[in-house]
Amino acid sequence: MMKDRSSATRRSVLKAVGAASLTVGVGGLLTPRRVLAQEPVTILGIIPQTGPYAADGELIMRGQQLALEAFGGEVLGRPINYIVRDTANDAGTATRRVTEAIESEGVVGIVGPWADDVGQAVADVARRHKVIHYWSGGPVECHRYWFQWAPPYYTGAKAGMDYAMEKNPEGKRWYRLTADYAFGWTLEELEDQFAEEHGIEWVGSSRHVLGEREFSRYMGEILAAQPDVLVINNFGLDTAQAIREAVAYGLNQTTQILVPWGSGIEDYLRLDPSITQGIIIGSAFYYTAEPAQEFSAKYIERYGEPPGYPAGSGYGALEILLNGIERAGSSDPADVVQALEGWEFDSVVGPTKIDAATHQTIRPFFVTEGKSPSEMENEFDVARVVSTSSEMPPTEALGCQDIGEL
Amino acid sequence: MRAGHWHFSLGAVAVVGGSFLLPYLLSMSLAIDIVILAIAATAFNLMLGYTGLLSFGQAAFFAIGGYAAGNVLLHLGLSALPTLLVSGLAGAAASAVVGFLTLRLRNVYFILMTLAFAQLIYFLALSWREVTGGASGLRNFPRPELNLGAVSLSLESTIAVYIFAVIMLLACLAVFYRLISSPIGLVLRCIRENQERVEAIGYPVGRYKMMCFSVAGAMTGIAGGLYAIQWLIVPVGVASMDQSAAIVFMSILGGVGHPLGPVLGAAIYTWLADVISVYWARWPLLFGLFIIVIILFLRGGLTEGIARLAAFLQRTPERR
Amino acid sequence: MDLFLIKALNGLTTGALYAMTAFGLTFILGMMNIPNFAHGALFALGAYIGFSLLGLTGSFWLALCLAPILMAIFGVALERGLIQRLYGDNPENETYILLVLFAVAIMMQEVIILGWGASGQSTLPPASLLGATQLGPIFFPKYRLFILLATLVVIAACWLFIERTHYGALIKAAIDKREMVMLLGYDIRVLFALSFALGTALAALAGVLSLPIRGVHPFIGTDILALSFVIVVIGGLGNLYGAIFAGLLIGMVQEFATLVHPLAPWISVYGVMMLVLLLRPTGLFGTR
Repeated sequence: MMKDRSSATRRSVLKAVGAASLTVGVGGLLTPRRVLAQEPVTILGIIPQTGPYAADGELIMRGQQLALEAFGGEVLGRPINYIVRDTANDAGTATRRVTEAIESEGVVGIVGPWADDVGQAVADVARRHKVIHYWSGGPVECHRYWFQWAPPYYTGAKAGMDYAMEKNPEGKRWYRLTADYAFGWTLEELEDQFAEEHGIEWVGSSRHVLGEREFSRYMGEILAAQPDVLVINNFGLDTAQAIREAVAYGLNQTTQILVPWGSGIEDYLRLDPSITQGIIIGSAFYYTAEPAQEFSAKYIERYGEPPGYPAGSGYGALEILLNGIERAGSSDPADVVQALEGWEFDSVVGPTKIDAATHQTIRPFFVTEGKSPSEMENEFDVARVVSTSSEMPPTEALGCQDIGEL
Repeated sequence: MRAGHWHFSLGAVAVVGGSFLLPYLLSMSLAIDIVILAIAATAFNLMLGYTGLLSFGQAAFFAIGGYAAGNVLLHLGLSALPTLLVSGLAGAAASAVVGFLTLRLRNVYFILMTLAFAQLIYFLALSWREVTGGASGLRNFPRPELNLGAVSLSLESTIAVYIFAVIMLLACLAVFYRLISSPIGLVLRCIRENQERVEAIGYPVGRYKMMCFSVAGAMTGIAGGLYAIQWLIVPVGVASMDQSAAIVFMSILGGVGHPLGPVLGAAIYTWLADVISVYWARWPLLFGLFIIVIILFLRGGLTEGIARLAAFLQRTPERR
Repeated sequence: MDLFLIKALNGLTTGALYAMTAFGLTFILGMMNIPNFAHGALFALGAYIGFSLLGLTGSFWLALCLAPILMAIFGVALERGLIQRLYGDNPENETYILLVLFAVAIMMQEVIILGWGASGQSTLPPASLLGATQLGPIFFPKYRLFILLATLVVIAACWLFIERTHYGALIKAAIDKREMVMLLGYDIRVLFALSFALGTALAALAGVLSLPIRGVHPFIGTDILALSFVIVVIGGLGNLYGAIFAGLLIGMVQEFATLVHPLAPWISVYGVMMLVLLLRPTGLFGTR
C-alpha cells in the first residue's frame, strides 16, 4: 500500500477532481451515446428525522448535502444518487430501511446514523451486504467495510482532562455527573485511567438517566462536595440542561466545568455566553478550525448559524467516502476500502489518516473554551480552540481486534 | 358482529391470503413487522374491543417478551418454540400482575395504572443493563432454529422468519377467535357493556378480567419474542410510550371490536409509516388528524368503512 | 444540613411546577372526567408561545401573562370545537375523548417542530431574577424562589376564585356532583369551557415558568404528561387541592431519590403511585 503524504490541500484535490470531472463530462459529450453508461453512485444518508434526535438528523443532512455540493454532485464523472432514510431512532426500523435501500437502490456507501445502538444495527447490515459504512460516534463492532470518523473517546477525554489540569494544576478535587448509559460509562472508565496519572481525586459522582431534564436535583450534592472541577459526561440537550443548572446555582464561580465530549458550537449556542464563559468543551468538530473555513462559511451563509459536530460529521464522513471512491477509481466497495486503508490526506478537520488495522480515522480532536461576552467579536465567536489532539489510544484499547475480510 | 364459524373461515382465508400477498407488495422485513404488530394489536383488541379495557401500556409486555426471548437465546440457546413459550409466559405473568393491581380500578384510574406500569418497565429496562442492555439494547443473541422434534428447520432466511411469524399470527388468531366465540367471550363482552350488572348477576368479574389480561399479555409477549428473533436486537424503545400509543392507534385505525380490524390496522399503519416518512418527516401530523376523523365519524375504523362501502355497493341493508 | 436545605428547596420548586400543572389537570379531569392526554402538549405549546412572545417583546413578564391567556383561548376552542362532539353518557366516550386528545397532542408536537424546529431553545431568567441569593448557609437561585412565590400566588388566586366566587362554587359543586348542578338549571357547557380554559392556562403558565430553567424542546410535553397524571391520581380525584400536595410530594421524592440511584427519581414516582392506588384506590384525598 503506497503511503503518500500529499501536501496538496483539499482545495487542490477538489480542483483536480473538478477538472477531471469536467474532462470526463466534456469527453462524455463528445462520445457516442452508447458509451455513456453513466450509472449513478448511490449513497445512503441514514439519519434520525423523527424522534428525540430529529434536530441532529437535520444538521447531519445539511453537512452531507454540502459535501455533495463540494463535489459538484458527481464522483468519478458519475452522478451521485443521494438518498435519505429515517431511522426513527429505532434499530429495527433502521435495519429494515437500510436493507431495503441496499436491495432496491444499489447503495455502495452509507453515512450515518446518529445514536450508537442504531449505528451498531446499521453496521451489522453493512457487513452482511458488504457495503461501506462511514460512521461517526461511539464504539461499534468493527468490520472491513466499516469506518469510524469520530476520534475515540480516549482521545477526547484525555485532551480535555489534560487541558483542565494545565489550566489549574492545583485543582485535583473532581466531581463527575454522568449519563447512565454506555457513553457515560465508557467516559468514566477512561477518566479513571487519566485521573490516576494526574493524581486527581474523585470527590463525588452522580449518574442521571439519559434524557434527564431536571438537573437541579444533583446540584445539592455537587455543591456540598465543593469540587475544583465538575466533569459533565453527557451529550446534546442533556449537556445544555446540566450546564444551565450548574451555572444557576453559581457552580461556575467556584468550579471549572468540563464537558469531555460535546457538540461543539451547538453546546455554546444552546446556552448564553454569560453562562458558557470559561467552560471547557471538547468536540470532534469545531467550525473555526482553519481547514473547516470553506465549509463553515458556506454553512453560515446558507443556514445563518455555524456548523457543529453533527453537521461536521455529516460533511466530514461523506467527504472522505467520496474522496475514497475517487481515489479507488471505482465505486466497488472492496476497492474503496482498500483505497481508504492507510491513506493520509487533509480533510475538513485537518491532517487525517485512516488506520488500516482498525479503520479509525486519526485526526484532530478540538478542545474549546468559552469566551466571555466582552471577548466576542461576533455573535458566533463564543469560544476559542485551546488545544487539539490526534493522539490514539494503544491499539488494544480501540476495541477492534480483527477487522475481518473483504 | 358475532364471530360464527363461517366468519372464522372467512377471516382465516383473508389472513392467509393477505400474508401470501404481502411480501410481493412490500419488503419482507416490513411484512414481518406487520405480522408481529398484528399479533400485539389483536391482543389489544381482546382487551379494548371485547372487554372494554383501554390499556395504554401494552409496550411493557411486548418489551418483556422481547427481553425474555433475547436472554433465553443468549444464555440457554433454546430453539424457536420454547423461546416463544417463555416470551408468552413472561408477558402473561407481567400482564397478570397489572391485572391484579387494577382489579378494583375503574376507567381513568385503570388507564393511568397501565400507563404508569409501562413507564416503570421502560425505566427499569433503561437501568437493568445486565438483563436488557440498558439504552444500548439487548444484542448478540443468535437466531434460533425451529425444532419440531423429528426435523429442525433453519430460520436464517427472512422468508423463513416470515412464514414462522405468519403461523404464529394464525395460531394467536385461532386462540382469539376461540375465546371470543366461547361463553367466556360473551361474558367479556358483557363486562364491556356494563360491569356492575355482570357482577350483580354473580359472575366473578375479577377472574374473567385476569384471564383476559393473561391471554392478551401472553400474545403481546409472543409478539415481542418474534421481534427479538427477527431483528436480533431488543432496543429499549420497544418499551416506550410511543410503542404503546402506536399499538393503540393502529388498532383504532383498523377497528376494535371487529376480530380482524387491528390486523388490518397494523398493516396499514406500518406501511404508511414506512412509505410516508420518506416524503414527509412530519407525517404524524396527518396521522393524528386521521385518527380524530376516524373517532368522530367512523368509530369502527377501516373495517367499518369497508363494511359500509360493501353495503353501499350492494345496495342492501347490512345483514348481521 | 446545607445539602438538606438545598434539596428541600429544590424539591419544593420542582414540585411547585408539577403542582401547578397537575392542579390544572384536576380541573379538567375532575370536572369533565376527561383524562386530558393533551395536557403535556398544552404545557409545551404554552412554553413555546411564551418563548416567542419573549423574543418578540423582550419582556418575560409580558410573556408570562399573555401566553396563558392565549392558550386558554386555544383550550376553549379545542373543547368547544372538538371535544364536545364526543360527550355522551356512554362510558366508551371517555375512552374516545382520551384518544382524540392524545391524537391532538401528537399533532401539536409536530406543529411545534414545524414552527420552531426540532432542536431545543433556551432563555435566561429576566435580569431582575438572575443569579443566586444568600439564604442562611446556602446560595439558591433567585429565579427558583420566584417560581415558588409565583405558584403560591397563582394557587391562592385560584382558591379565591373557587371558594369566593359564584362560578368557582359552581365548578367545585360540579366536580363533586355534576348532575345536581345540571338539575339546578345551570348550563354545564359554560362550566366545562371555563374548566378547560383554566386547566389549560395553568399548564401554559407552568410551561412559561419552566422556560428559564428547562428551556423548550418538542418533547417537554410527553415528559410532563405521565407525571401529571401520576400526581393527580396520587392526590385523588374529586379533591382539587390533593393534586397540589401530591405535586409537592413528588417533587420532594424525586429530589431525594437521586441519593439512591440514577433511576430512583422515576421509578419511585411510579412506585408511589402504585402503592397509593393499592392502599387507597381513590388517591390520598380523593372522594371518588
